[in-house]
Amino acid sequence: MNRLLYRIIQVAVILCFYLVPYLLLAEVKGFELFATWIGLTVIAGVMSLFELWKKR
Amino acid sequence: MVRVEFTVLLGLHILAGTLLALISRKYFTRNLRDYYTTSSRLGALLSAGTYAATTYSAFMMVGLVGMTYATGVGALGFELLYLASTVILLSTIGYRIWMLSREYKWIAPSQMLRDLYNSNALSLIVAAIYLFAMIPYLAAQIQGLRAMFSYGGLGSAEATVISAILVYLWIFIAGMWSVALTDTYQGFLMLTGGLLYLCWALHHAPASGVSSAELFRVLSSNGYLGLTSFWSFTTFLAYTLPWAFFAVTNPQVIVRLYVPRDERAYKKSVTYFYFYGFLYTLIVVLIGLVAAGLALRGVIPQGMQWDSVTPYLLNSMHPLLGSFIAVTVIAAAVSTANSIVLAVSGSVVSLLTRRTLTLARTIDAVLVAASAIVALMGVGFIVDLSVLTSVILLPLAPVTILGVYKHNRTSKVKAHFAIMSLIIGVGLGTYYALVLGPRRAFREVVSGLPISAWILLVSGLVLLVGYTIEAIRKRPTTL
Repeated sequence: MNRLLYRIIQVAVILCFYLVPYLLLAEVKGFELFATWIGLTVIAGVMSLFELWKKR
Repeated sequence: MVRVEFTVLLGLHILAGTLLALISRKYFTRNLRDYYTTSSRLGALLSAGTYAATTYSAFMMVGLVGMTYATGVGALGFELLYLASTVILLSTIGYRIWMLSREYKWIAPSQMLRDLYNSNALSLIVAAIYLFAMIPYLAAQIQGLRAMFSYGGLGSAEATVISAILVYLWIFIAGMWSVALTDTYQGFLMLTGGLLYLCWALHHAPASGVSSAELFRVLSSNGYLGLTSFWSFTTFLAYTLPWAFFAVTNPQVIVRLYVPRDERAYKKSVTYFYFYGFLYTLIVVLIGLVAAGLALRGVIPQGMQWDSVTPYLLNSMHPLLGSFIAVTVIAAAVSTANSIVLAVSGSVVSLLTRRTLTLARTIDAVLVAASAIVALMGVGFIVDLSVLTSVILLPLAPVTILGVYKHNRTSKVKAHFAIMSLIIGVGLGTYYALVLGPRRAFREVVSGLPISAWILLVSGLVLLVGYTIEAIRKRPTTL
């Protein structure tokens, strides 16, 4: 995966932190918001650490 | 009345930390680069341990628990956004900073910016900004421990003196070596304390007649699993923006990018830090949610001040457990405070031509003493200013990011505009702090955006103008 794609995904993840809760999940009654933020953090972590470990 | 369990555990903690600090002396070569950065000789575990313990202060077990208790799951989004953006920054610009630090052998972030922009004036201004922003933050750390010492039956004067001595002692012994080793030990304590706190909370609920199902039901029906009214979009933005750029604005974490000994150690340390941060955040937020549920069911009081929740719950525990957790909170504050002292002192020392270890240690002592005096005097405005520390440092984000990525093409124009962007950005934050008071300034919305967003936009724009002017100047003219 090239660097530009990594950046796009990373920026998208951060934007989702703001947009998904306020557009979709503001009034949830279950663990949807909890799980969403955890999921986004996992994606950010996996993408970033994968990119980091590939660097030489 | 002094709590015996607390005194004994605190004494054991001080003894253990001091022994570890003394052990680290055998690695200390007594030159300034070693004092501030271990001459980039730290392995992955210590690099990660010191980064984690420096980043995560007493705010987690006291402030974040209270924030979650009061505002619900929105606090998780706030804290996880910090972690997500930090792991992104550490994997990108952080890696570059680590590589460059091996070439330039920096001891402080202000020195880094001096070299990236080829400007002594810039490093002077950055060091001044660090002093302005970080002393209130240091004072707030020391003052914030009063509640934990009060749990142990000790007064605010004793709390301040013990905290200040502890902060200074573990720096004095071997600089970054003793700080990194004690940080890693304290990071382990913090996680252990968090896990025990959570286990207690999960046990306390059913023991008080509130099952897990009932906890979930009451949190859900009261909107705590969604965005409560506290978390308007602008409030969420106000809280998250300064923390999203924390890894490239706060000197105590930037300097920790200089310490890993090789590429593998750097990569492993970022990985370890990520997992630690994830686990610690989840633990703390779950504690806060359980506390919120217990409050809604009337087991504990509702409407407590955020910082009062943990002290209240500690008093509900067995004194040995409560004392252990209180000591881990002290560990969290001390590990953050001494890292800040070392980083700010490094920024001051790097400005001087005559640099000695004695001078470095003297500056450390002055910083600790100044913060302790501010904390003891209870100068409200100064301590409140700590709330704005990361906002005041925000203009450093674009300056650092562009500086690192464009460091091969320095120019006076870029340096001047970097200085202007810092002065304007910090000036804006200070203006609103004076006019509105720091706490109100932090959440104030101006034309639909929080002040932190304006600071970032304005200072970033000023810097970009400088880069654009330079690009136009350097454009080859056609003949």
